[in-house]
Amino acid sequence: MNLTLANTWGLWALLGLPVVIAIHFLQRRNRRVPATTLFLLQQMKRESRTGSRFERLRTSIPFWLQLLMVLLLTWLLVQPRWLKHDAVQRIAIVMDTSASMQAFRAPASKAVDEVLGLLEGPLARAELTLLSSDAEAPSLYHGTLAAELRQSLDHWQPLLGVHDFTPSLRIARGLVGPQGVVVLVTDHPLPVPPMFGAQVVSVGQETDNVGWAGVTVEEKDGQWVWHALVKNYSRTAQERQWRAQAGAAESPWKPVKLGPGETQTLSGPFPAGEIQQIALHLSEDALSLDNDLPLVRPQPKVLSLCPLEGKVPLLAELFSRYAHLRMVAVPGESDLVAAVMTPSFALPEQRHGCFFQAPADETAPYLKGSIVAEPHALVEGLNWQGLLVRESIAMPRQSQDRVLLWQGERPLIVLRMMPAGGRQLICQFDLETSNARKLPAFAVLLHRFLEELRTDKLAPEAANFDVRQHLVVAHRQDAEAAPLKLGDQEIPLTQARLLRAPAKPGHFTIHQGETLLLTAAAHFADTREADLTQAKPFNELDKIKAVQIETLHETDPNWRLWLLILLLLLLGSWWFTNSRREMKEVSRA
Amino acid sequence: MMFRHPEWFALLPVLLLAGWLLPRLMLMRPVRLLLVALITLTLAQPQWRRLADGVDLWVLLDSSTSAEQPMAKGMQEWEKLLEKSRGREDRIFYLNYAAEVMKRGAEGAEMYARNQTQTRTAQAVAQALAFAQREGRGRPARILAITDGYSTEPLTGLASKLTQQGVELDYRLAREIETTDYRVSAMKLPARAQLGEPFLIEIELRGTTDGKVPLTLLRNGRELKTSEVAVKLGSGMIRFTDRLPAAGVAHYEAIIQPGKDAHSGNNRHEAMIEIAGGPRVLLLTKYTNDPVAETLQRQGFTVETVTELRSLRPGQLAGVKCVIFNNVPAFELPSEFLPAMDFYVREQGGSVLMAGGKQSFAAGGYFESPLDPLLPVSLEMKQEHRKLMVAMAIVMDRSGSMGMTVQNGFTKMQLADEGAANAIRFLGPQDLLAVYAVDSEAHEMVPLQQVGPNREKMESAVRRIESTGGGIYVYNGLKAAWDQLKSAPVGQRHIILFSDAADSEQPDAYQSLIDDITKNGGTVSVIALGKRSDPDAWLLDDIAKLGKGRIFYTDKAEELPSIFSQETVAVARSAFIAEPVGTKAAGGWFEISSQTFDWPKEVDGFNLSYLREWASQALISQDEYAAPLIAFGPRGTGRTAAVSFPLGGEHSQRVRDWPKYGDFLQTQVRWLMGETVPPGIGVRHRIDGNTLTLDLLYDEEWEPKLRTKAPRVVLAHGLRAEGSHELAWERVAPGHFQTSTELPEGEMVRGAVQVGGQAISFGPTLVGTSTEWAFDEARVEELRRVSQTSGGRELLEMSQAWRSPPTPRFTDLGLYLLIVTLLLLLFEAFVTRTGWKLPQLARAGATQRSKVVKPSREAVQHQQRLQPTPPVEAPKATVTEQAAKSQPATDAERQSRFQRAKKH
Repeated sequence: MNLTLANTWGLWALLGLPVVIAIHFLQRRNRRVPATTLFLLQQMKRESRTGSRFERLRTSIPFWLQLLMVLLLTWLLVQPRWLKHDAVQRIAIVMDTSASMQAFRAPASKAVDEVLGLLEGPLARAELTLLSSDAEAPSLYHGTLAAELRQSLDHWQPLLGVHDFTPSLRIARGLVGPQGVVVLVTDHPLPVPPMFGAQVVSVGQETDNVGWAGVTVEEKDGQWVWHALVKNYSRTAQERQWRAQAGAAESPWKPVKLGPGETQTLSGPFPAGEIQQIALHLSEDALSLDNDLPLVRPQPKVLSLCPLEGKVPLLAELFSRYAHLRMVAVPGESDLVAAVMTPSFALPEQRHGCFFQAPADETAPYLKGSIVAEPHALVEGLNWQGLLVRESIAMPRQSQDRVLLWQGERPLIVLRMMPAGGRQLICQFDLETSNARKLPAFAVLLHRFLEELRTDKLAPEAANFDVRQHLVVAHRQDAEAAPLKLGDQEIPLTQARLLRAPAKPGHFTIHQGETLLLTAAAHFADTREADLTQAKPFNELDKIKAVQIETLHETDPNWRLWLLILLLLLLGSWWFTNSRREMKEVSRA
Repeated sequence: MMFRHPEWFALLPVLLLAGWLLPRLMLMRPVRLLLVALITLTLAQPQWRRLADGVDLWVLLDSSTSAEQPMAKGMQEWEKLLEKSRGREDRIFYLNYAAEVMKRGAEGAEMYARNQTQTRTAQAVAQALAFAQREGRGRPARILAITDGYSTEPLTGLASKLTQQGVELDYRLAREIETTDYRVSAMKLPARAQLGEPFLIEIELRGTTDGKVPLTLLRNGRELKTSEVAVKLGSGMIRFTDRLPAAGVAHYEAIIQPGKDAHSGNNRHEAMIEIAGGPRVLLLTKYTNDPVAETLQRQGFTVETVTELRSLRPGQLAGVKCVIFNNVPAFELPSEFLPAMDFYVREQGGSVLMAGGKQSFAAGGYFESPLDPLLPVSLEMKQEHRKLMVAMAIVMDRSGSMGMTVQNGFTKMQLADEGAANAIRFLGPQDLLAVYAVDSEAHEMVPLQQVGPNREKMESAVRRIESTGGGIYVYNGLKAAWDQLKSAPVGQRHIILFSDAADSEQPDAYQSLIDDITKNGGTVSVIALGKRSDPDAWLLDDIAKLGKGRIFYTDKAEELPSIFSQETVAVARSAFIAEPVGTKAAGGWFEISSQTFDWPKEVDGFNLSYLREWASQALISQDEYAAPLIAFGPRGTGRTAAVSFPLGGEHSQRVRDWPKYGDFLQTQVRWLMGETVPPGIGVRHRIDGNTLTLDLLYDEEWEPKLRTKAPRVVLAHGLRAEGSHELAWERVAPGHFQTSTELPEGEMVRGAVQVGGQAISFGPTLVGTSTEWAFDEARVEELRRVSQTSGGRELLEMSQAWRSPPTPRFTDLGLYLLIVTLLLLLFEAFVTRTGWKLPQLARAGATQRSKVVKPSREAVQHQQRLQPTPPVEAPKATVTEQAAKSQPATDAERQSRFQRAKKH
């Protein structure tokens, strides 16, 4: 039906009908009319002498006109709206893709139904869009059929952590235009109204949840141990079962009792032997994502360093502070070389390295001038003000050098990118007479440099990640290089930088051809999503309906005509009432 | 070809079986068989897989200011080329984009065309993808971005989205061969530096011709350095180093003034740097050698003392943990400083201490100021405590400029009227008031009379004052007001002059008039609508100075009601009690310190105020008021305190002689500054284009804390830090949260990250006003990489734009099959009814024979029956055959034949 009543309360005006009828049930008050003619007395005889008492309903023209007027007024009061001739309903529903929505999947579907149901009346011409709040995901549905939109909800996978809805809302608004409706289906009322005029439908209910809240893995006395946090997010005490699984072996279910909001740490060793992967499970509850905690025994890539010491052996001592660094004696077997540059020293072309000047003359004065860092990731945010360096002969700068630190006009630290691939950090000072070894900024710089080399090293590693965490995996990039494989999924090399850990908890591997690059586990870690105590129902469906009526309907174009008719009826009613009185006057005369 | 529901093919053998079992169906007739097959095929929903029969091309046209000219030059030709090479099945869609994205020619598109100061390529591509999905319905699509390549936002996440949707992004770089133009393309500063640490300022210039360009570098609005930059091969760079001795925020501006220049809009760039210098105290004072500064420095605090109050900037709050207002009046502070305090205290974890004095609390004009709700005491004196009557006259400018409507929809005049009504509200019943509306004459709107019985009438009268035109004749207004006030039998006479700082005329002999006023115990304050730099501001300044009153400047008319309130309360309902008063410990001190104090027995004077519900008090006055002398309490993540007695200057001798003066200040300020945030957590912010990205990095020790209570990040915009809002942290990795938001160009933002009940503040920072002209090559490189990742390429030849990606497209054949079925059905009906047969085919070239009409079988049989049969030669027919030939069979006979046939 194309008609909508904007003000249904106006229907109460219909009560005017019985009132009019009731009035006409009443007899007219008796009046003394001196009459000289008998036929006029005949006219009067049917009326009561006592006046106001009920009699049978006597219809008259005014009676009918009054009824008509009541009906007309009711019509005007209910504010009828007609669907515009060219009205197209554009509705974009943005589904909150946060993981907490998993607990409210059924209510969310129901909410979508409600939104569609609300608009189904005048849904003759509609453009429906279903979007996920993940701005990187494609739209779930575009079309005109509500049934298809409902079906496409099956593809909605709420797996993300807390994220900003704004980009999706912006796209939704762009699609439906300023007159369309954007509905955000989420599980909690938002503290401030969402942007782009979106209406919120919250389907959440405060729900108990217990889940894994985090994990640390450490090596203790040669034994790898995991410490997993299990948290009760509820306001009441909860009891769950948990167990560990390593390969085919499974521990028996054990109970864990948690008070309201309590966190407990569960610990255990990794099984000895070949098995490097375990999984911890909690008994099922409303949110399943945080009930599984897969883990691998971490195996970071180890860099090998060959220190080529000067007279005073400082390099080995300096680099021994850094983790996952192995000292080797032969430069050819190392990933990088640390050396003191003597005049005869030639920097290797292909090898990464960290090089220092030969000890300066102790009588040489300290360099003067401001120490200024270049904008570069290796030196960003580091304070070099305490660095004291003696004057010495600086290496000539080459075209591939990038100066990281200056003192006055003299480069202090240079990053050289060798054409053959070597990355070399050249420190234009010596370790013996400078205070660089005591300077935190220098320690951080070396740490960053080693981490860059470690990241780029082609070697297998094992690590634990958050779900959907961006992954940086060193791999071959030459023309013959095979594509990467994340589980069974093939990733073209051009898309390697988009690699992410899986969206659901689990173990995974990354290979390039037959080469294993990464053994890993992804676990759910955004505890804000696991806390379902803030979930509350809330909806602005009435507002949506009102907006729809405002934008898609037009007011009754004939309201002026109705008013004119009303006026005519009123006059008519008076006319007929007066005409009788006039008749009486005439008869009195 | 593929079938969506091949299981329906199982129906075919069933039908054939039925045809075999029920021969009467004559299913083996070719047409019928074909019909059955067609219907079965239709049920199986066959679909035709086509690889590329037409592609939707979404052309993104960069309409930003920087790309305007090259686009205008090339567009016509590109469009022609695209149209020329378009295939029959191809479709083309154009989207214009700059700050917003709109379909070309869409209704209301021109509205969005106004904001061309941004190039939001990422947004445009995302929008095109959404459109492509909506309107393509499975058709292959490509996106072609015709742009100068300099997006003002990063293209993060686009590659992934394009790949997921299988859409390739091509781009065509549209660049201009410009006339001579120089611009400051970038100004790079580190986001943060340490106190005294030299840092690098890199300024990049771009120019269309080589030459030397004069450049000026400003720091906090003052010229720092000038130099000439050599532009070679289109670019030039100059580097400066600077170091700052004071913590806080510094604002740098680079301005070029080339002799010949096409666009002056891109000659300026600005940036900010935060100088971290440990927590410090910002002391606002007018005392020379303020004892508070001296004492705190002695106790080991870093104190930044500001005596030039007008030079104060909200940026100075960076790194400050406590702001002390030591008897400084509100009207002397820059108008944006006090509004910034709310965000500073509630969200950034800052603190405020207000010390007493004649220019502090309500007497200093802080009533209903943004600082008022933060203080632990309420400022206006209760009516029952008032002892002195006031006679006040308000002189209101009703010149033509007051008729202007401001942002909230009211005229300036209406807001001033509301202010005057506020003044009436805050006056006591015994006070006297007169109101004059002034243009070229002073018109008496309210004669001098007692407020008490006439309050409503007065309010109604002032609300009816309307702007009439002309300027304000200041002298006339002041004279009329003073003529009324001078005979008033009260102890305090005060005039409030409200006037437009840009349009205050006819000062006449104002100096002698004000001299007369002050000599007779009157005072004059001025509320000036405008800025201190306006042409008549000097006059208003002088009037306030000679009149021994206050001057308030505001260019926001919305603030007028509260300024009138401040001034009225300062005059009529503030009290600095300048007599010694005894003190009494109130016990609240133990909330701050376990240390007991020997409080001073007396203080020389104090500002009368009243404790707020949420606050605690440590010391109160031993008089009829029992007023708080030391009060404090928390506000949001920050803390505030009010010390109602003076800590320096007049009426502070007893306090300064108090042996515990230093201890008290140290303990109070230490509490206000709160605890330092434990190490292991840090916030890093950076600006890419116009996107602010914040990273919260923390170590494992912080993990449990953040798990218990998630971190919050709050951002406030503008100098006044208004419009604060929360951003959503995204957890990107263990120990790393990230969030990003777009910033409007040239607007300063400040923020705070709240973790475990403490706040880490950052900023202020801003997007340099030349982002659109930044021409950052990294953005072009990013576009290149995104394009490459998606499978696209730089489009040098427009005709190649239609190369379709190998996207499979399925066409449903159901409709065609149904049409064929219908035709076949009709044909079959026709054939069955008429017995019509296909015409016979003849070989080409064969002799044409006349067609002999073959008689029907019945006719032949009939003819045969009519001919006499020779007795000998006639072949013997069976009984059955003879019967069949001699007469037509009845139904029963046919049935029996059928039964027989079945038996065979």
